[in-house]
Amino acid sequence: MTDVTLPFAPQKEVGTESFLDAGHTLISWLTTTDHKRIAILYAISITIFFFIGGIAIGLVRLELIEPSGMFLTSDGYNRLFTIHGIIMVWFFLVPSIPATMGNFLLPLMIGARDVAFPRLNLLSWYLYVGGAAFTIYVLVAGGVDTGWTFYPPFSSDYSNSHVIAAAAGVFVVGFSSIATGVNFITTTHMLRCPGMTWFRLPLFCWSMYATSLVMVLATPVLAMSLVLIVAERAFGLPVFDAAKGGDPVLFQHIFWFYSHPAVYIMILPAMGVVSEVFACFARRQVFGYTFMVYAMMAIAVIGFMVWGHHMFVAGQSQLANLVFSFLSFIVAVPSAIKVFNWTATLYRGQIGFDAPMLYALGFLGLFTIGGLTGLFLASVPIDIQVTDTYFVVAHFHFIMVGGSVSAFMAGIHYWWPKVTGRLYNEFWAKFAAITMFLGFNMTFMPQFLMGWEGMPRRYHVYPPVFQIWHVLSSGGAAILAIAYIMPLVYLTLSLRYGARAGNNPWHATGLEWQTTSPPPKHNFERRPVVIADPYMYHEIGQPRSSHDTSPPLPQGRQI
Amino acid sequence: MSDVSEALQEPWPNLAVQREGVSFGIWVFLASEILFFSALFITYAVYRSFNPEAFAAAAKETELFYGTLNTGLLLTSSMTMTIALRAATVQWRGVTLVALALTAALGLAFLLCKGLEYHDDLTKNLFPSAAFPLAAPPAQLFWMMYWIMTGIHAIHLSAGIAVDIAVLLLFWRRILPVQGSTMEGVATYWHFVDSVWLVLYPLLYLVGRS
Amino acid sequence: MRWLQRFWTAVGVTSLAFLVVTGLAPQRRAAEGPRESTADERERTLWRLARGPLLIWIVLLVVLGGSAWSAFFPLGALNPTINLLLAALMLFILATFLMDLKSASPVVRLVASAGVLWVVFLFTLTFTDYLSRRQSLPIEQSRLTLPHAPSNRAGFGNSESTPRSPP
Repeated sequence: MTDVTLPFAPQKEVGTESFLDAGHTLISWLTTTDHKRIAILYAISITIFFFIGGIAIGLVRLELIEPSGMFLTSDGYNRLFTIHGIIMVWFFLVPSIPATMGNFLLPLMIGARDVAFPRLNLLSWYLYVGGAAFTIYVLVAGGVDTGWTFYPPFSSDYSNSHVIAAAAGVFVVGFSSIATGVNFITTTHMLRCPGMTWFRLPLFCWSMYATSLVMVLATPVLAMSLVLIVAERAFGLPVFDAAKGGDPVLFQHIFWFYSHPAVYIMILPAMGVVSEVFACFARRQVFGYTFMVYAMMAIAVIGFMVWGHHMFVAGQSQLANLVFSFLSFIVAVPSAIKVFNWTATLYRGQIGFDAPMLYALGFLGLFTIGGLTGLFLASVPIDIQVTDTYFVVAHFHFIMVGGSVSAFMAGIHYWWPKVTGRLYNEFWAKFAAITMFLGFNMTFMPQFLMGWEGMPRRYHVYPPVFQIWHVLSSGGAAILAIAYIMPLVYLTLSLRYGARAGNNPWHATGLEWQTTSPPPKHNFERRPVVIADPYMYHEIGQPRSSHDTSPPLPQGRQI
Repeated sequence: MSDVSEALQEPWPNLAVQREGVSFGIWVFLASEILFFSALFITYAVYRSFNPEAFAAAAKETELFYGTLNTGLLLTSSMTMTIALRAATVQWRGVTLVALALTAALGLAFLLCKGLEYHDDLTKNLFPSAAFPLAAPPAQLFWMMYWIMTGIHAIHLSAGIAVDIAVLLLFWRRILPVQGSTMEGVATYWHFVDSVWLVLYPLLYLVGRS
Repeated sequence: MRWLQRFWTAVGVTSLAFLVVTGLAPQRRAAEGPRESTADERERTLWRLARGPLLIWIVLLVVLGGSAWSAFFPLGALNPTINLLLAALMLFILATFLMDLKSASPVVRLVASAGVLWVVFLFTLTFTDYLSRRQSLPIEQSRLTLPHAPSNRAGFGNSESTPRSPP
């Protein structure tokens, strides 16, 4: 029985035609099955939504300068923070690193030609666009005011806003997540090149795998929770109706069963990115590779068992509170292990303070602060004090913005030369990174303080005693906004005016750096064979310059 | 064996890995579908555990005849789908096509019976509303679950039938070769939809019968 | 509280069972390729193709009938238990023989088990809440007549069950 094998080397001579040159029409982009092009489609989409969500919260922060508000009605205020949450969670953070960097890099890092199901990959982008269309409709038609958490009975019975459309948008984009997850899990299992054993995978690949597990297993539960809300609202079915014996807290159980693992969807990829960046810019192996892998898998699994910590004051039993609190403390341990290992990776390294490294260092500090404040919240009595205050808001923004967004920026800058073949302006990149760090702290540090003092979240008007913190926070937000616009400018300019990048400007290990920048359509001219563990920086030493064109350095060779 | 090379798709290195990959991928998707229905199961379980008598009284009103007949139809369709898959693996196009057609027909028969059953239920006002016949409010919870669970299942079944017919046409027109990896994915999904019904049946039709 | 103990025991046993099922069982054979056959061979092959599924079908119908039949006997708490156990049996038979899990690779079996294991997480922790609440009710059904704001729920006469006072 002969198996037909596709030759890895293309039949005709293609030279170094990059994936960007394989088709210049819009249709070639909209019907592509190339994972690299799909990654770019995603990157454009999520950037647009990042700025829409940013404008929404910009208006909120502007409004909060005055204790009794300035130009918004309370109803308008509610709709703005709700759409900020919905967009930032589902249309930016959840897809951000997986759908852009994961899509682009996973096949490259494992030495494959594409993901396992390229057409499913394209479908996942169209599902994102479909969900986005619902969200744009919601924006245009007047918004939704339930908070991103859609709690009944307000969302199902009493809200006078476009709950069904918003829920539909999130439902559809959820299936985009699931499709991506299925693709990545199958790709990692089935398409690793020869020599790429599981424990030679770069930590970024492991993070994509762990994230995909969470996406596949958690997102469907969210989808059904939204179906139930829509069923109650659209068809009058008494799903969470207390008058019929229904329980609104049951919605919270089902919703948070997804939404807590969702935050691990948002942080695990970030952890993968910074592992790559730290290794490269400290010129060191990642300390404790095996523990890093197990820690990520532990976070992914145990993360499914802690959701009740969002419901300590919702009416859960004391036993449930105890169990969830205990498990929430446990889930912090693998994260802490990772922070220690990153620190140990840096120790005695030859640190280069390039822009990706600045972002990664910012991640390290800000994620640690966010994580420690998470421990505060895992403790039931403290949580009861600070529930629904700005303390919680600050905690999750430290993780999601200080953590995930910093890592996203680190990854964008690290792999920009690989994706585009261009180098960006290093001065402006560093400037933006530092501005972002300072702006971020000025925005969110005051929120810890005012939350601790009792400032409730989601409040349009507030007692004047909190004004100073709000003004500081809004000022920081303005700085942050400028810092986010800067990369948009210099990265776009680099496409035209940036110096051409070589194959491996950072002298990094990893298979993605053993091919051209940008890569050819099928990633490698010849199938790679892996001959070494990842992160063999100790055998390479310090690069001489970013324009060094000496021969590629192994994790693998193309033979 | 030109048929075989058409079956191979990017980026798989050979057909054996592709088959295994597709099978694996479908099962990962099914894991997500299991979780999708589980949100309904947990809702049902919580509400039933606190309202056992109301649920029993409400469930007696379901049409056991239709429910059992439908279960039989789906089990038969799983049999025909398995035959289709086995025929496809040995490249027996004729039997594959007939078996796929039978499977789709049985699925459509299920939907037809479901439609008739829904009509009967609505005639008896078994939709949660002011006209609901049973007095205890939690009985409406049972019927809420009935409509949502069977409705979502019917949507999944319809998707399965649509895919079945689409694949049938693709095979018939020789656009896809039967021995590729498509058949296994279709069959696995179909069995899953059947499995969900096997769980729904006792939860909806066998409660409160004694 | 005995409820909880029984519950946790059931959970533990189920999880163990699935892990055992995942681990045991033969490796996957190499994927079969196409074969040519004569008309005679085809006739014999059709029977061989259909024999297994037909047998499984009969077994499943028998179990189905048994489950439905048992529902008519007043066995108290045993009724749902038997029904669900027989449903689980049908699922097991279907998965193993019709979905070919018995000859699938261990990883595929692991994936199938993972889906079920995660359902166990959902059920366990959710019921840890509900079974340990004081009144064993998800929510105390209020006897107060609360003033209702106008509801935006779709009308099938839904809000008539509790009397409304004017907003």
